[in-house]
Amino acid sequence: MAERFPRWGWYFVYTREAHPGEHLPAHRTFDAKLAAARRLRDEAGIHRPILVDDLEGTVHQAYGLLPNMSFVLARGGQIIYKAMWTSAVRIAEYLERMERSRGGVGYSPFYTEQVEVRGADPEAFRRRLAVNGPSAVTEWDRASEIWAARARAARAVRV
Amino acid sequence: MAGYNYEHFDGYIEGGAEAEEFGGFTKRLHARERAPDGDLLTLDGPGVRLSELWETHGVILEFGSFT
Repeated sequence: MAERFPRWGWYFVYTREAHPGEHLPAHRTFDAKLAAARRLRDEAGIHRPILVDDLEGTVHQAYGLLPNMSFVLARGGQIIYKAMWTSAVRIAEYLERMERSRGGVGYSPFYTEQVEVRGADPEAFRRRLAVNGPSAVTEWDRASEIWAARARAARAVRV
Repeated sequence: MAGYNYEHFDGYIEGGAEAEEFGGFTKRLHARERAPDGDLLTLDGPGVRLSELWETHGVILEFGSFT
C-alpha cells in the first residue's frame, strides 16, 4: 500500500495486547512492550514504521482505544477518514478517490457517515489467538458467551 | 496500569469497558476535526510527535497489536 500510495505516510501504532496469553502476556513494563513490538515487526512482517505508544496507552486512548482502528489524516492533521476496524481495501479505495480529486477541478469534498461490514474467518482468528497462548483462546470463547448472553438479554427486553 | 493493560480478555469484556469504547468511537473525533497530537517511540530511532508526521504529508495510522 505504501508503494501504491507513496504521497502518504503509513504507520502502525502498537497498543496494548488485545488478547494477552501465556506466550504474549499483557505489558507490565515499557521494555516488555518494546520487545513485543519488535516481535511484531520480525514475526508478522510489518514493513511500515511501527510507532510504540507509552505503557499507559496515551495516544491509543486519545484516538478511541479500539483494538484495530484506522485513521487517515490530511496534511495538517485533519481527520478525513476513520474506521472502527482496519480494512486495507476500503482505505485503498478511499485514497484512490482522493488521489483522483487532487487536480481540484470538477471535485468538491462532502461529509459522509456509513456503517461498513467486514468478513470474518473464525478459525483463522482462533489460530492467531493460539499463538498468544491457550488462555487467549479460552478467554475469547468466554467473551463470546458473554456477548451472546447480552444479545439474548437485549432481545428479551425488546419483546 | 492493569486497567489499560488488562491481563484477561474475558474480564475486560465482562467489566463493560469494551462496550463503552466501541460506543464512544462514533461520538467523538469526527471527520474534519483535528486529530489528537501525541508522542510515540520508533523501534530503532528517536521518538516522534504525530504533528511532525502530518506536517508535510497525509498520514495513515493503523492501531493494533499482535492479534
